[in-house]
Amino acid sequence: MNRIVLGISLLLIFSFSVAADMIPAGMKSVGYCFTLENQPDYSDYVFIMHGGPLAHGQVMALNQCLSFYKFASPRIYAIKEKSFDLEEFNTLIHSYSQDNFSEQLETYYSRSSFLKSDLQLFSYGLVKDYEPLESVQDVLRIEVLNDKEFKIIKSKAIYTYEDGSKTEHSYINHNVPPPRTNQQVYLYFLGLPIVALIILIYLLVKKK
Amino acid sequence: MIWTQLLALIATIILEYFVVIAFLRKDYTKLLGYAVLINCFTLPLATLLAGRLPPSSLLLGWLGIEIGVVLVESILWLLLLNQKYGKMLLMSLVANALTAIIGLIVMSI
Repeated sequence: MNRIVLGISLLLIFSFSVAADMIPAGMKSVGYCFTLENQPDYSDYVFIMHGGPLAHGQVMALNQCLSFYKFASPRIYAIKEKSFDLEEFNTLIHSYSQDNFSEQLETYYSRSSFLKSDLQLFSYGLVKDYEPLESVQDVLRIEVLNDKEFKIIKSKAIYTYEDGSKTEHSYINHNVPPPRTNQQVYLYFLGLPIVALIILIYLLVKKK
Repeated sequence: MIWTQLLALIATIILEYFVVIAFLRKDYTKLLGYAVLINCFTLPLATLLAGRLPPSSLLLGWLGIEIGVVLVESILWLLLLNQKYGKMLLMSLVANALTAIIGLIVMSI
C-alpha cells in the first residue's frame, strides 16, 4: 500500500514538473542566442557565461551566438586572460556530478579576478503560434570593463522570421525587447477586416 | 504561422456557408460571397481579441467574443438579405456554434 501511495505521489510530482515545461496552447517558443559585438576590443579578457540551471560555465568564443537553457538566467563574467586557467575551469565544469558542485562553482566565480556583469540574461520566452517569428538574437555591447566595473548593455535585437527575413531593432530600454514589425500579422488581423468592411458597406449602400 | 489562420478562415467560411444555404436555399453564389466577406471581417478581429484575453478569464471572454460575433454577423446578414431578424439570428447562432464546436474538437486533437 505504501509503495502504491509513493508511486502515485512521484507520478503526480513528475507530471507537474512536466506540465511546467509544456507550452500553453496557442503559444510557441522561439530560438534565442546572444553575441557580444565588441568582444574583439577586449582581447586580453576571457568571457564566460554562467548562471542558472544547466548554464554552469561556457567560455564565449569570438562572434559566437550563445544559447542557454530556457529556464536559466546567466550573467557574463570577465577575467583577464593571464589569470584564467582553462584546465582548472574545464575540470571544475566537468565535476558537476559531485555533491558539492554548486559550492565549488560559487567559490570559483567569487574570486576577485572575476568581474560579474550587471546584466542578467533571460530567454525570449513564448509568442503566439500564429506569429512568424522563428528566433531572436540579442546583440550585447560592453560599455565599461576595467578592474572594478563590468557593464554590458543590450545594443540591438535581430528577429529572424519563418520566411528567412530578418529585422534589426535598437534597444531603447534594455529590459524591454524592441517591438517586432510583422507585416503578415497586420495584413491579416487588420487589413483583411478593413477591406471586407469597406466592400460590405459598398454593397449595402448600393442596395439602397 | 499565418497560414494556419488562413486555413481556419477558409474552413470557417465553408462551414458557415453550408449552414447559410441550409437556411436559405437560394442565390448560392451571392451567399458564398457574403459568407466570405462577413467572415473576413469578423474572424480575424475575434482571433485578435481572443489572443489578448487574460488566462483568468479565458472561457468567459471567449464566450463574450462568440456572442458578439453572432450578433454582428446576424445584423450583417439582415442588412444584406432583408430577411426576418429572428431567422438571421438563429442562422448566425447555428453557424457560429458549429464552427466553434469543430474548432474546439480540432484544437483538442
